[in-house]
Amino acid sequence: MKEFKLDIATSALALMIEDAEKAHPDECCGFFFGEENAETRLVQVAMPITNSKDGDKRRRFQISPLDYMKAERYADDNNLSLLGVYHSHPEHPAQPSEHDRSQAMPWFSYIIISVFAGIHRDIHSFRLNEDRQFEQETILSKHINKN
Amino acid sequence: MREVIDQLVNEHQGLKPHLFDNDGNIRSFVKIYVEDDDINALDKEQTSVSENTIISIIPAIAGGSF
Repeated sequence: MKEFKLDIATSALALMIEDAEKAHPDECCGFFFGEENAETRLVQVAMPITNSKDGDKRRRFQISPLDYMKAERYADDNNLSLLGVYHSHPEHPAQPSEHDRSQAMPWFSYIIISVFAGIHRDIHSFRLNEDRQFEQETILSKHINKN
Repeated sequence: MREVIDQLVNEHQGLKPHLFDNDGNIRSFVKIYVEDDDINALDKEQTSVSENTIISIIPAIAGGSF
């Protein structure tokens, strides 16, 4: 199986972390953009998005269709690819749940940030394989995980 | 608008299970926009479109920790 790699720009990573810690105890969510070559996805821009979940935002996130459309337009306008979705897991490991898996779409990378007591802990990324199971991507960025 | 979606699915059969349920209804987590307007706020599947109308088919983006 091909190994998926993700190289996240420092500024994009910092913005995702800031969003995750600020949103705590709720889940944050957003998109990230960049480009990809044969081996690696280069994440250049992160875009925090309002969690539109109507209900318990501490364990659920939702992105409105309009926000998704605007993100696709942003990608087109800036000659970038919409590479995936990030969200946080408050007081929960940075591992995809069954709900995450059932809602995920092919091709997208899914970055998950765990946040405990308002401070981020781990950051992992995943992508669906052909059997609709998540496979972990390798993040090629320094100082990602504290464990 | 529904005619346009039906034609799209006829030309690209692989889209059918992603857009429609077994009863032939558009799946609830698939939102369809005519320009910036959700068709549910317009005339739903009977919403009129023209040759230059931009129709967006948007799946839901969601998830959660457990």
